[in-house]
Amino acid sequence: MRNSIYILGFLFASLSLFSCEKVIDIEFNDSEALIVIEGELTDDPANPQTITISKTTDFQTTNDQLFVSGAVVLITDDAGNSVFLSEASPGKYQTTTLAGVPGRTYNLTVTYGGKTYTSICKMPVRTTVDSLSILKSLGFGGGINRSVVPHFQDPAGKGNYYRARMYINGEFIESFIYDDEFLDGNYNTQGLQSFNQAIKKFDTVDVQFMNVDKDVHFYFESLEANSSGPGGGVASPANPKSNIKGGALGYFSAHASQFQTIISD
Amino acid sequence: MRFQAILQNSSRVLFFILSLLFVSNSVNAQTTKFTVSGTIKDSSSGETLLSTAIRIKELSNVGVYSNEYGFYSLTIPKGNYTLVINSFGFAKKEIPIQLTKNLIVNIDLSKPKQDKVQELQEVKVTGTKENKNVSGAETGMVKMDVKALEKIPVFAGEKDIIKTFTLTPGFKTAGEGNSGFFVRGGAADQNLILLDEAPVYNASHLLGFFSTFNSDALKEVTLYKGGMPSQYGGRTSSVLDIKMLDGNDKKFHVGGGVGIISSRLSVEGPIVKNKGSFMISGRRTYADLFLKLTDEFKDNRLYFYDLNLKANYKINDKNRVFLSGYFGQDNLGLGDLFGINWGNATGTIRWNSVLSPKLFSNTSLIFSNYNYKIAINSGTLAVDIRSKIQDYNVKQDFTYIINPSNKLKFGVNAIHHTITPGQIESDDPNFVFEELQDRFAWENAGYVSHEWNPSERLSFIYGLRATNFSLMGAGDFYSFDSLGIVSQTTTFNKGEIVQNYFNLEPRFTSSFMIDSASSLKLGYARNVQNLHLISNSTSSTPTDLWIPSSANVKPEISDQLSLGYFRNFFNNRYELSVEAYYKDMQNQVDYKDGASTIANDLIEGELLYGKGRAYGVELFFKKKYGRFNGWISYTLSRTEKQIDGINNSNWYAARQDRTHDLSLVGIYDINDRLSVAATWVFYTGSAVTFPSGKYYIDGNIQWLYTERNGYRMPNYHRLDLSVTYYNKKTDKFESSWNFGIYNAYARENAWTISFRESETDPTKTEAVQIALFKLVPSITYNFKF
Repeated sequence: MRNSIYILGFLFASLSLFSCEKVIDIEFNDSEALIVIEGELTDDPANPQTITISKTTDFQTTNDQLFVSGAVVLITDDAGNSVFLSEASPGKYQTTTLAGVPGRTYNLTVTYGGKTYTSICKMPVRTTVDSLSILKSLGFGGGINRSVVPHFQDPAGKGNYYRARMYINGEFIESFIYDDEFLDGNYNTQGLQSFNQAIKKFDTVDVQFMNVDKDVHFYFESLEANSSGPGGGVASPANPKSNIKGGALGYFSAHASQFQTIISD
Repeated sequence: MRFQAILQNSSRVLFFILSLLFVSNSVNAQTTKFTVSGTIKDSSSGETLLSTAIRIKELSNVGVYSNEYGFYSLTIPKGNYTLVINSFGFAKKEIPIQLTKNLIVNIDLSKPKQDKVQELQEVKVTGTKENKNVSGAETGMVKMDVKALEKIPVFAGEKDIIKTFTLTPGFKTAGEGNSGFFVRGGAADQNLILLDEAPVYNASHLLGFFSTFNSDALKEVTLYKGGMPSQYGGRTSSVLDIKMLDGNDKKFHVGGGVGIISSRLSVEGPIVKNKGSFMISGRRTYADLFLKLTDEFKDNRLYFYDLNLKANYKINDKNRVFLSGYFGQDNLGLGDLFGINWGNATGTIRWNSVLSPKLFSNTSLIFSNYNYKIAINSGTLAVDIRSKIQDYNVKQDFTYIINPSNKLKFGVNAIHHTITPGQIESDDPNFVFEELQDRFAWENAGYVSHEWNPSERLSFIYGLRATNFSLMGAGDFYSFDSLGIVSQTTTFNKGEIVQNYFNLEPRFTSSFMIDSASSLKLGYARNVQNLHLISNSTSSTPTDLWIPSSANVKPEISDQLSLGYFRNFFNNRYELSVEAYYKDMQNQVDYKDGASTIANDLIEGELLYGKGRAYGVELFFKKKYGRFNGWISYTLSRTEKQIDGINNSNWYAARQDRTHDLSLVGIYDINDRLSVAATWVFYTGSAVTFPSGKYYIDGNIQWLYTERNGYRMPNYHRLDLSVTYYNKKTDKFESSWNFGIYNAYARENAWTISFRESETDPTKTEAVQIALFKLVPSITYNFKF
């Protein structure tokens, strides 16, 4: 849906051949610093489980992610495991001793500055991606658009949620979310295409494919809905709905994860 | 059970109407009186003349206005009288009558000789018509003569009735590139827009840059901002009642205009001379032809067209039938990748019948269809999203003119709505799109309204409207828990009532003449709305979704109280009005933070409900006649909402909140051939939501929002200029050139403001404003023969 908003914006731009863009000054209000938690727990033993904690800053301060050190981070699961994560680098809390298992429910507890933030997430069952392919289509002005298609069979019954991260030549480009609302029980042929950076011939494209739970899907969906495209835009953007309780921003996602690579032709 | 309730309610309404009728009738059973009635027309075109005053020379203060079909009726004691019709723009006419029985007198008014126009304007005007703004009981009403639009500068030279209304107080544009409008703090969907009685759901073309109303096809437009008469209902904020031209029943005429963006052509003429006529008017924009010249945009589609049709036939003195239609379509797209089509089609069949000299009847059958389609082709998937509202509407209205000081209007109306919400379709076999459910509803109403002038100084219009809204099966209907998750699904069969709402809407307006040139007016109106527009977009896009009232969504109710002071100066050459209003709004609908409004069958779970209030003062000062004329319009107002779950349930500024709104309009006729005009507008920026902070997710910057509508867009101001040059007129042919400049001093008004990492300094974030349209010139050539 975001693509259509971008296209709508493009259409507006073409409509207004007289339009002009400029940077303006706005007096922004100060905001109270909030804790931002990005929690990812996977079934992939190759990477440590990582919870990243940072803080929000005022709009006009410099662009630095302010990591939060000294938090106490605990993950427990419904199989009786319980692990405190250690701070590997400022704001990055990790463990290698807890293996993620699809079907298990995980609890995250973060304590910092006298406040406690909690979240619960059940790791969904993995949907295997058979392969990737590059799909070419005609873009505006006659160019070729490439998108990368993860081939997989959606299990019958609605309620499967997916998230994918795309990397081009090792660089993270964009993350995508989708669900089986319209795909239910079918074989996926829909591609991922980034408006941030096009896939070119001979690019190496890596895709991390994740089965995420409903709340995580909703978090990223509302995050996307609120990022206003150029023109039009949402009337009342708001912070996405987090699955973390206690007043923190961000998300806690226990997901089944897999990587696939393709070289673009 | 529920059906019985409807019946019961309907009979209640009927009883009320009958009892009022009876009361009024008993007042009338006195001395021998007779009725003179008929239709008033323009002799040159055969167009009926609406709201034209007919007075009796021998009886001071006895007079009536013709109704919306040009019909008048006067009941007075038997005797010899002279009918006097002195209407602006026409030669004064006196008709002697011998009233010894009921008479039918049809009146033709002719235009004065060309060289006498100026003289007429200087004549001391004492007729009632000239101070109707002061003497009439209506409050919050603005009538716009479509001819008056000619000289006012507009965007791209396209005369636009809605854009012109935004220059009057209390009526505010929803923003540049938006034909939506806000009236006295109401939202854009709370305006009832009627084109020859047919409701128009989306009054905008090209994403709002133009309105759907081709002013060449229009006769008269009336706006009610408050105290709307009880024959209107269905929206809480305002009524914009647009009447199309009937067509000339004497001679054929062709008129039109050629401009840089669009061209117009109208043809009118008799079907049977003096008995029937037709009018066809069409428009087509051709901005897309310019796009074809550029390489980058050559595959784009960007145009609209519309067509207005009307025909009428006078069967005899007592019966006349009208057929009117509107058809408009927009087509926007980028090659095969993306397309939006939307359109309105309306059709009205009307039958006017003079049942007795005092009783006028109008029966209308109305069809209205609004549909949109979005086609998206992402290269890997092609989908269409379709949406539609289709209405069948039957209306029966009576006007019972008891005597010159008592008029009764009453009638019934039934509308059947079918709403298709954002159905997604695709040819791709791998995608299964669930059929979204059509929604069905009956909206039935009965009303009665009494116009009463008990003395020279006092006049009242009061009435009651009763509406019954029934959401009908078949379909699944949902209940939601506090988190917006479906807690219960109930299946209804076809014809079953899912939810029923009965509401009474009292209306009242009155005027008290302080002296012959000034008056005080008081008005109150309750309005109920059962169709709600859900939109989470800053511009009016066709993806906005209409939903009916249901168990979750309650009918919106507004109560408005208004008080006005009206004064005319120097023989009605200047008029001044000051109006204050307070509006209380219940069951206002808003969406939750981060709601998804596209293709969502469970949309009701994404909504929040609360209340609103709006209040303000409107000032209007106008110089009506003379070489230099124009007006100043100023509104000071506040519009707020309180919704549980938004901004900690505190009152907050609604999007349509504008503190100041000022318009200046000046027209100067240098000579008979040359006229210049300028308009200047200023308004406080709308309330918007901007971020107050930032953070990172997945390495990407995200904005932190702390409150809804906590910021303001920059103030908006703009000057438009136009020059109209009339070529020498012959008996057969007249033409004019219109040159305009929109935004003459190139003010960069913010259309959107977005946020990004700074392009010059990557360590910073910045706000970026996009402004549209600086110094847009236009040339239009208009002709008529």
